[in-house]
Amino acid sequence: MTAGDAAGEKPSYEDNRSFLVGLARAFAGALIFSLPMLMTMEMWWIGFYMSPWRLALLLTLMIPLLVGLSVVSGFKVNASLRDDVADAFVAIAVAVVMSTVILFIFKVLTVDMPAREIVGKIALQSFPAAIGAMLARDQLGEKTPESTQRQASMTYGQELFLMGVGALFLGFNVAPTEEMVLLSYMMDPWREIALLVLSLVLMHGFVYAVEFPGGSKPRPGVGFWSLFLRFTVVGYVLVLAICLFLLWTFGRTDGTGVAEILSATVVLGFPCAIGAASARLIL
Amino acid sequence: MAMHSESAGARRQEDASRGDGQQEHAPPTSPWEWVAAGFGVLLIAAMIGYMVQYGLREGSAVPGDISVAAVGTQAGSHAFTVRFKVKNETSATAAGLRVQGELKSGDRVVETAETTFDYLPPYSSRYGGLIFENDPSRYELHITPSGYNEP
Repeated sequence: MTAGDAAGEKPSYEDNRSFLVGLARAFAGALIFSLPMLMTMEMWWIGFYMSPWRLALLLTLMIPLLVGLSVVSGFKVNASLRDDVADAFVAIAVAVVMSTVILFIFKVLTVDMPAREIVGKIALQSFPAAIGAMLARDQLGEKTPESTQRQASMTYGQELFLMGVGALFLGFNVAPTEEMVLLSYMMDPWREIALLVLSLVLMHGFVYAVEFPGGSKPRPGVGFWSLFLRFTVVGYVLVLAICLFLLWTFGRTDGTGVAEILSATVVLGFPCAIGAASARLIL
Repeated sequence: MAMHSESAGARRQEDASRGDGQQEHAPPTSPWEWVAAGFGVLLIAAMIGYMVQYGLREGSAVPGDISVAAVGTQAGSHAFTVRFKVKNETSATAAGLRVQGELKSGDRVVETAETTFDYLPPYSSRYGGLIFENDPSRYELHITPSGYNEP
């Protein structure tokens, strides 16, 4: 309140109201983005049996990820980094509250459960929910001229970062499920190679279709190979790294042979590649 | 909506253009947003802190200490259901936990029943039921966990 009064020119009521609208959007976004995971039983189980260190690492990585997302694609142009940091922590608060409420209603959480189980389940769900909360404030909100302009003038690094978020967004939906590992058992090497090629082709199709408006738009002189190598190949490598990290986080790589890990990575890489390539469309 | 946001944007720009030392004291982030952000800091710090202390406190235990206790027997029209509580006393999760119940008369096993729990999380209790045709109160009832796998 005092800070609002210090600004002096408008009543603080105005700012708080727009904040509440933003908060409602964040709740909506957290719910929309994380509903598939809230209703996936592997997500509940992994929440309590995964290693506490990996969960702590995931939660720690979430903070710079959300701040970066706020800088690159946040719902408003923030005057300074501290406002992006504030946005990130608001998204976390929204995600935790939403996950807690929904999981209690689902009876996935009950009051007589031990703390480890409750904290684990909420913490794991809060990761996709926080990304959803952060994105939704952007997506469900209005596109202001500044934010559109900012999206148009993204650097190469920011493009790759957004691709990574897109990969995480789609990958998180399927990474915890048994099906990732099951598919890698079922598929023979030739099918895996086919899936890899298909991932690359589709990814490049998206990259080309979206046409990278603004800063990274291919200039007339830029050929197929430049675009393919700079975005599609680099993007796909990034996607595979993220897949490997997700599989490791969910304990899918423990005690598994290198060949099986690689094949599960390629399988998970398919949705992640689509997510990464379409990041500009869906995020 | 759009109007509102644009005016907010314009205001923010005014703030920025005005920007001498003022900006430090009047951030565009509303005070309630800072309250919510502070709440978020607390929550994330608490979750990370809890997981780290849990990781430090609990080594890589194996779920070796599982206790089972019968809670009560209910007579149905065709069978008797023995409700029991199974509790994991360790910090490791047992998956596919099988619990077996036997009705014994001396050394002779009269009837057995078995059930499986998908998961028994660390320090958690779950309830289950074993269904017998014979009345458990007329025999000796033994309920024991018989196997699990590590997830």
